[in-house]
Parts: sequence; structure tokens; C-alpha cells
Amino acid sequence: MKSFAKKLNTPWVIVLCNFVIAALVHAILIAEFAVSLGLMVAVVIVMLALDRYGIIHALFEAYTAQKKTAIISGIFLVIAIPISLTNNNYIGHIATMAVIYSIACLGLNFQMGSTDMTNFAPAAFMGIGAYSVAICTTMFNTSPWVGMLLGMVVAGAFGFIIGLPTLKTKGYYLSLVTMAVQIAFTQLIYNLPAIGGANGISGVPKYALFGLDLYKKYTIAGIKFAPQIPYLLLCIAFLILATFVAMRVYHSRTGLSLNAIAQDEIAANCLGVHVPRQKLFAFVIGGVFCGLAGSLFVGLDSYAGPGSYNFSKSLMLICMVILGGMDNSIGIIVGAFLLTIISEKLRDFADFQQLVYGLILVIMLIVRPNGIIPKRVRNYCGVSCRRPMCAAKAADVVEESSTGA
Amino acid sequence: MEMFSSLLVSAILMGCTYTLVAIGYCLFFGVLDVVVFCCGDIAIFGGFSIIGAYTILYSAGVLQAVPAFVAVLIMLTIAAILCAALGLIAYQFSIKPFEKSSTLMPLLSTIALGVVIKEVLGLVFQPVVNSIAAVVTSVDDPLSVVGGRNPQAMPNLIAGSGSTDERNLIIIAVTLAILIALFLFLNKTKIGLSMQAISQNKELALMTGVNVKRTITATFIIGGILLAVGGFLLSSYQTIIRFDGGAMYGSKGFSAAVVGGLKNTWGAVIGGMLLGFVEVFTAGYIPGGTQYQNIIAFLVVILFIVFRPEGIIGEKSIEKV
Amino acid sequence: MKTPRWIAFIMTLMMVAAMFAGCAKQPVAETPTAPAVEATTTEATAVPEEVGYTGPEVVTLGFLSPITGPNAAEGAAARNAFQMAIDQANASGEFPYEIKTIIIDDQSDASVGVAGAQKIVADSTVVVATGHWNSGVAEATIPVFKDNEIPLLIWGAIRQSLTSPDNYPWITRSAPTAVQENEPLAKAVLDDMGYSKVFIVSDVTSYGEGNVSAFSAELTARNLVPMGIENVQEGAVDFRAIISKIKDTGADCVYWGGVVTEGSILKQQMHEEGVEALFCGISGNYSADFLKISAEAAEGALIVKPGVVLASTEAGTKFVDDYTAAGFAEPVGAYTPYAYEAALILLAALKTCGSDITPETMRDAIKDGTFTGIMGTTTFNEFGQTTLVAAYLNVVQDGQWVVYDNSEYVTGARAFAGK
Repeated sequence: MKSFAKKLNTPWVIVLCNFVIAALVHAILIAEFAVSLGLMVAVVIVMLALDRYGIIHALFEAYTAQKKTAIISGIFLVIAIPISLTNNNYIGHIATMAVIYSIACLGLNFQMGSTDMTNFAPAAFMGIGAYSVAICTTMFNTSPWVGMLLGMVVAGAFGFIIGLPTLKTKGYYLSLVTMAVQIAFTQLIYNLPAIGGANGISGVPKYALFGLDLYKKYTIAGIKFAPQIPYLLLCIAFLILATFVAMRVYHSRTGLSLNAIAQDEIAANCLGVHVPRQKLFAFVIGGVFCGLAGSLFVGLDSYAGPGSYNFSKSLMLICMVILGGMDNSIGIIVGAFLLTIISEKLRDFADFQQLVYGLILVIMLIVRPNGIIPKRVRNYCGVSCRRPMCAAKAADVVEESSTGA
Repeated sequence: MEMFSSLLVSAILMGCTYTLVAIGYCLFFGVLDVVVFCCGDIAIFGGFSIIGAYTILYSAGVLQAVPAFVAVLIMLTIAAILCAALGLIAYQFSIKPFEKSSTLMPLLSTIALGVVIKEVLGLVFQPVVNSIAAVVTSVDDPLSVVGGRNPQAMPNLIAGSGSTDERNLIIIAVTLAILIALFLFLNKTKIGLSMQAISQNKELALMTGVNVKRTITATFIIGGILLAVGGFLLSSYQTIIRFDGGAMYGSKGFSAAVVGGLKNTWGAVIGGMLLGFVEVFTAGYIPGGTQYQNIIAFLVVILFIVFRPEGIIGEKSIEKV
Repeated sequence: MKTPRWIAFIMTLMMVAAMFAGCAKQPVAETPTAPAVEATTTEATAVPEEVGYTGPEVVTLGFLSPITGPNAAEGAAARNAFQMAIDQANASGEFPYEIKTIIIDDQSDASVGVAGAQKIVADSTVVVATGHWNSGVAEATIPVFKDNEIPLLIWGAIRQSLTSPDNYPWITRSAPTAVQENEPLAKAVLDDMGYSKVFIVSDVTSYGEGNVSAFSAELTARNLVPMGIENVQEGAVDFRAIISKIKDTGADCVYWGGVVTEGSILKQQMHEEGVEALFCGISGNYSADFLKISAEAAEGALIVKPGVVLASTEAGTKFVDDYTAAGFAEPVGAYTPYAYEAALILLAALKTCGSDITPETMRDAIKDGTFTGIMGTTTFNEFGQTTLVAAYLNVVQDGQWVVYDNSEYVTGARAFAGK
């Protein structure tokens, strides 16, 4: 096993792996209903099988070791996928939705995954971001970017306010607080005619960058592109940024203290972790991420309505995090993609959609509570150490200790 | 004054229905230390099973043959058995596997189970009940049950053709009777006492020879009966039952339990009543207040959680390492 | 380590190029211009029976409605009617091409509706779409259709602002607006029957909001003030507090602006609490589901319904017969004829276009056309709103919907509550 894991540690494997992932994503997006679902199931099964033999872990190690190659080839492919969708509006729309949900899930993960604090209100945070953009642009005629910034700030502040009770409460009480906040948020939006009430706000302007519309049909080199493609690229850029931040936080001291709180709050407190500060941090940064996702969402639909940010949306986001794997950024993105595409491909069976969510949650929790790609054992050499050898050595140490035991 | 009295009646009735589900939460939490979040859905399931039992028994001609009082009892028994069974299923599949893991897991799994119960009710209720009724009866056209996703009209089982006042009185009386029975059960029977013992100190209860396994089973049976009656009273009061009503009913019941103090069964009564009063009077006395009644109810709950998390008559708990 | 990294880099580039090459082929075939040329060449030889026909072989119509979710009954019935009209057209052999449909379920949810609209506009054979029962969803999908220049004919959403100079000519509507629907109801209830103490209850949806503002405007025009306005959440089951309020204010008429689910519960509980007031409501309540509450409780509910009495016209009778004969699970709802009518309008517009069927020609054919369907003759005004406005009242009598003019309430054999 050890030698095989080492064999993976070459740039070739990384590039090939990236390419396979990109091709799979492309195929799952484009394929027809049954083929796509079959592919998704196959992917999950293969991933679970690989994980059983530790290959996923080895791949992660290899990626960490070959960071530059992985990033360069990854970025190329990430740009290539949207471009390869060309003028397919619908697929572009789904892909953008998946990317946006991924960002929101990364935000939710700070609370749910890292700190083990339930948050049943991620959709409310998204709604704040969306409504900020909608209100700023339609009522004050500002640029949507201002709305986005404001949305992130307000969502962060909202996170702070929701975070305050968490200092005193936890477990069930916290879940009830966030649940109540989510329900109250939706009903409040419904009942505020000033911001559109049940009608919502429609006709929200799209984002533009340097005078270049980001949601517009472009024809480049004779190939027509769907209007979603430039927007998808923008969202992917934000997703990369969000993933980067999330991974940085995870590997930092803060991420470690969040995990410590999740393990045992009192012990963490004794060890000098500033529990209130860290908990608030998790809520604020999670809120900012969800706010960002919401403000991107409104740019896709040009419409902000109360129905899009209700309790079942929150449940869907939670489901994505659990399906993908708590506290593992890559896993969360996988979960968000899978669930978005599943629910879109199951469109003709909408009566079963909620049932599918419920069953996925129940089955995942019983069979594999850690998700498809579970949380990894922390590797304290990975980030701080620039040399690839160090990570490899650490992997060896882990392996030896596990075989030794 | 007339308005006040009618609002008062509404508030008490709402409080009664909230109380029953809140007590369910308290019982489960006391014994398992776990919030069974699908209590609302189990109660709604109870209401649906009564409609199903009614349809089937009516088409079989059983209900017409016995006095109304007995008929209601038969249906309640069926619903209670089904609810208790569902409670045990919930325990097996969404609570037991997570005994050792963090609190998040059973919470999520019971919520997910609630969603599954809700959706299954919406999808299969009508076809299943109609086909059973068609088998039971020789008549080709069984009593039509409205599609599971539409609201189900609850047959007026209590008080027959009597006035609404009579029905309201019966609802209150049944709730009181159940409370008294529960009080006697918890304090006078061995299983009731062992439930209390586990709730207070699980390790000590184990040491003194309390059969935890049996007590848990008993709790779910008692809880199932409570929830079935709760669902029955709720749907009789509202004259209608919706398959998706469980989430709201459950979260209101949980809120009532928290307001009263999660470990305190009698606090749930006060919590349920408080919530009922807040809701009804907000809707009644504030112009256009109906749309804010849920918001205000949840606001009260949040205030309680932040400022008095131990509930109205709960004791402060100090966490020990 | 240096060399492999460079090799990797080049390899990535090559792979990207390969992916491009692989994917570029599919979309090119899908672009509207290429197949159009192909189609014309093959068509001339392959289809001899239509000499001179040079149009496309397949024409696709998009359709959106809430087939699942809270408004499923209305949306699914509309889908049935629409599909029935298209099937009849295909079977009739009057069209030298196959008419296909894309049926989208918007689940009454705006973001689901938008994704569905994207699915419609992504198909290059789609020339026109019709849709929406929920105004909120329509509001969200209209930009999609406008941006992609696909005409949308709204068959069921009644909010006033959906048809506007901004949206014209891409967006047209064959259904009446909330104002056009509430006006005859207000006239009947307030003027003819002489009710003046009206209590307004509604739900907090786009639909409810539109109705409340329309009916309030009718009240204001008659110098009346509502005794109270209450909005309930969707999914509400307990109206006792509102009923106490209605009793307290002494209102003699309760106006319900929401849809059937909550409407029937409100009527049931009003009956139970013995409220002596007329229950009047809007078309969303005209449904068999309303009658599922007991006959006694439903008695005397007055509902306005748009359109004409179907049984009074030959085409209307035929539609009802066809629909019944097809054996659909969902009964004809208030807007089912409108979905059928919308399908007829699209089919007539297709005929007008002849062989030159594009979204542009369809748009012009719809906005300038005159269509005779099961409801009467439809033309569109300068905002794309139908000029065909008709509505009639229905009342529940012995657990059945009866046209008000034929009911015992007109003859005086029965009287409404609150008189």
C-alpha cells in the first residue's frame, strides 16, 4: 500500500486525476437524466471503494505534495468546463447554482462541521445577501457590487447577532434558536410590503465588471456562449476564493480551536481557547460566505423572493454538507454538486424530492455519518511546510503508527 | 367581552394541543437525553391513522354497529398502537445508532425522519386507505378520502352532532384526564418511577437495577399514545389535518417544552398554555396581527432561551467536567 | 522535479484543447442556423405531401405550471388541458410538422421556475412558451424569456404588473388580471346585494396580496372601509382568532383573497363558529376541493370565476366533454379552460405563421392576432393584456357548484347569510 501511495505522488497522476474529475463533472452535467444519475451513483460507489483502500487519502497527500501542478492544471480545467458548455443555457444555469450552493455550504460548514454547532438558518443568511443586492440596486440604484459587499457585511453582522445566544446555549437550544430565526426570517420577508412582500423584488440588475456585462450572450471565435457562462466563471472564481479561505481557516490555529470546541468545549476553554470569540467567528464568517452566495444567487435569477430562502432550502444545504462530508472543503463541494444536480434531474419527480432528501439524510447518517469524503486526520506538516518531502514523511509516520498498532 | 371569552377558549384549546406534544418531547428528552424532533410528524401521523381507521371501519360497517363512544375508543386505540410503533421505529433507526455521537446527529436524523414520515403520508395515504377500504367493503365506491397532499377533513367524532362548545369541553377534559393519568403513571407505577430515575441520573438508575431497555420501550409507547391523542385532538379542533402540518406543530411543541423547561413534564403544560395564549391574543387584539403570530411566538421562545434557558420552572444545571 | 512539471503543464493544455474539440461538435449541431439549413434541404425531398412547405420538422412549445407543491391541483389540470389541445392538434393532421411540448413543473417556487424556464429557452426548437399560475414565479421567469427572446403567453397568473409596456411584446396574457376579476365580484356583492361591512382575509402570497389590493380599491371607490384586513400564512389551519375578530366587528361579509386550501378551512370554521356573514372569494377557490368540506359548511360560498359559463357554448361543452372523456385524475379547475385557451391561441398563431416559424413571427402573430376559442374572441391590447374579459359568479348549493344566475339564491328560495 505504501509503495502504491508513493507512486501516486507524481505530477502525471495529479493532472490525469484532475482531468478525470473535470470530464466526470462535464459528463454528469450534460448527460440525460438516467445516465447522469447512474454516473453519480457510480462516482459515489467508486469514491467509497477508493476510500476503503486509503487511496483517497493518498491522493490528498499527493495533491498536497504536488500543489503547484495541481493548482495550475486544476485552474485550467475549471475554466475549461464552463467554456465547454458553450450555448447550453440550462446546464449553465444548473452549474452556476451548484457553485453558489457550494459557497453557501462552505459557510455553513464553519458552524456545523468545524464547531459542531447546529445552524438551521443558512438560507436566511443567503436571503440577507440576496435582498441586500436587490434593495441596493432597485431602490437606491447602486451597483450590485455595492449590494454584494453590503450583503456580506450585514450577513456577517446577523451572524454575530445569532452567534450571541450561542455563548449561553448549545445543542438543542441552539438548534431551536436558529430554527426559529429561519422561520421568523421567511415570515418577516413575506410580511414586509416595503421590500416586495410575497411578490419579492424582480428585475434586479446583473453584475458587470469594467463595463463588461457578466450575464450576456457572447460570441467568441464563432462559438456562441450562453449568458450564464461568464457568470459561471465569476462564481467559480468566488468559489475558489472561498475554498482557499476555508482551507486556510481550517489549517490555521482558529480552525484547530474550532475543532477543539467541537470535541469538548470545557476542555478547549481550559486549554486557553477563547470560546466565545471563536464561536462568534464561526458564525460571522459563515454568515459572510452565505451572504456572498445569496448575492450571487440573485445575480443569476434577477429575482429575490421569500420562497427561495425558506426552511426547506436550509435543510437542503444541511443535507449537502452531510452528504459530502463535514469539515472537508472538497467533500462539501462534492456534496453540493451532487445534490443540486440530483434535484434538478429529478425535476419530473418533484413529488419525491423532499422524500429523497429525507432518505439521503437518514441513510447517510446511519451508514456513513462522515459523508462521502470524510474529514481528514490533521496533518501538521502539510501547510506550514513548503517541501513536499515533509508531507510524504508525515504520511509514512501515520502509516507506520497505524500498522504498528 | 364576548371576543375576549372566545379568544380565551381558543387559547386554552391551542394550549391543550401544544401541551400534549410538548409532554411527548419532555418524556423522550428525560429518558434519552435526545430531542426527538419528529414528534410533530408522529402526532400528525396519529391524526391520519384515525381518518384511515374511520374510513376503513366505516366502510366495513363496524362503526355503525357500536355506540359512538366505543367507536372513538377503537379508533384511538388503533392510532395509539400505530403511533407507538412509529415511535419505536424512530428510536431504532434514528436515535439508537447515535447514542455515542454528538447531539447534532440524532437531531438531524429525527428531523430527516420527520420529513420522510411527512412525505410518505402525502404520497401513499390516499391510495392505501382507499384500496384497503375497497377490499374491506363490498361496495364499489369506498368513502372518498381526499388526496394525501390536500388537507383532510376530520370527521366530527367527538360530540357527534353536538355544538362546538361541547367539543371544546371534551378536548379540555381529555387533556386533563391524560395529564392526571400521566401523573399517576409517573409517580405510582414502577416503570413511571424508573423513567423519572433515568431522567434524573442515568448512571445511578443503572446501578440500582433499573431496566433501561424496557423503560425506553415503555417511554416510546406512552409517548406514542400521547402523540396520537394530541394529533386526534388537534385535528378535531382544527376540523382539518394537513400532511405538512407536523413540522410547525412539532416546533411549536418543542418551543413549549423549552419554555417550560425541557426536563420538566409539568413545565410543558405552562409552556404550551403560554404559547397558545401569546399566539391567539396576538392574532386577536393586534390589527393585522395574524401574520405576526408565529413571529411573536418564536420571539418569546428566543427570549426564553437566551435569558432563562432552564425554562419557567426548571432548575439551573451546572455542567460538570 | 522541474521537467515533469513542465510536461504536466503542456499536457494540461493539450487536454483542454482535446476537451474543446470533443465538446465543440455537439453545440454546433444545436445552433439554430445550422439545422435550419439542413432541414430545408431534406424537407423538400422527404416530405412530399406538403409541397412548398419549407419550415421546421419539429416545433416545440414550452409550458410551465405548478404540477406539484401547494397549487398542484390547479397546475396539473392545466397541464392536462394544454397537452390535450396539442395532442388533438397533432392528431388532426392540420400541421405539416410535429408539435412537441416541454412541460415544466415550477412547484410554485420562483427559483425552480427560473431553472425550468432556462430549460425551455435552451431548446433551439422552442418557438413560444405559455405558463404560470403563480404571479411570483411569472415575475421571476419573465426576464429569462425576454432576454432569450422567446414569447411567453401567461395563462393563469393574475397580478396586474405582469403585462406592461416594459414586457410588451414578448409577454402577453390571455387571463384576466386581479383587477378585472375583482371588479364583477365587488359589483355583485357591494352594489347588487348591498353588503357594506366587509372583512378581508387573505394569505400572504403574491396572489393574495394582489387580490386584497384590488378589492380594497373597489371598496375605496365606493367610500367603504374594510372592517379589518388579516393575512394568514400559507399552511394556516387555525382561523379561530380571526373569526372572533370578525364576530366582534359585526361584519356581514367576509372576503377571502387566497386559494382553496385555506379558503375551505376558513369557511368550515366560520360555519362551525356560527358566523352570520356571506363568504365570498376569488377564482382560486373554485375547485372541487372546496366541496370536500361538508356540504352544510360549504353552503352559500360565493366565488367569482373568470371566463364564460362553459356549458353555454358549443366549444366549451366540447372541451368539458373531451376533458372528462380523457379521464384525468384532476377535475377541471377555474383556470383549466384558460390553459386550453392558451394552447388554442398558440396553435392558431402557428397556423398564421405558416412555414416561417420563429419566435419573432410567433410573437407578432400572437400580439396582432384575433383568436376565437372556447371563451370567446381574444385580442391583445397595447400592453399584451387580453381584451376578452368575462367573469361569472358561482355559488355552493347542496354541496355542488352552481352558476349563481341559475341558483336558488337568485330566485329567492334561499338567502345568503348576513342579510
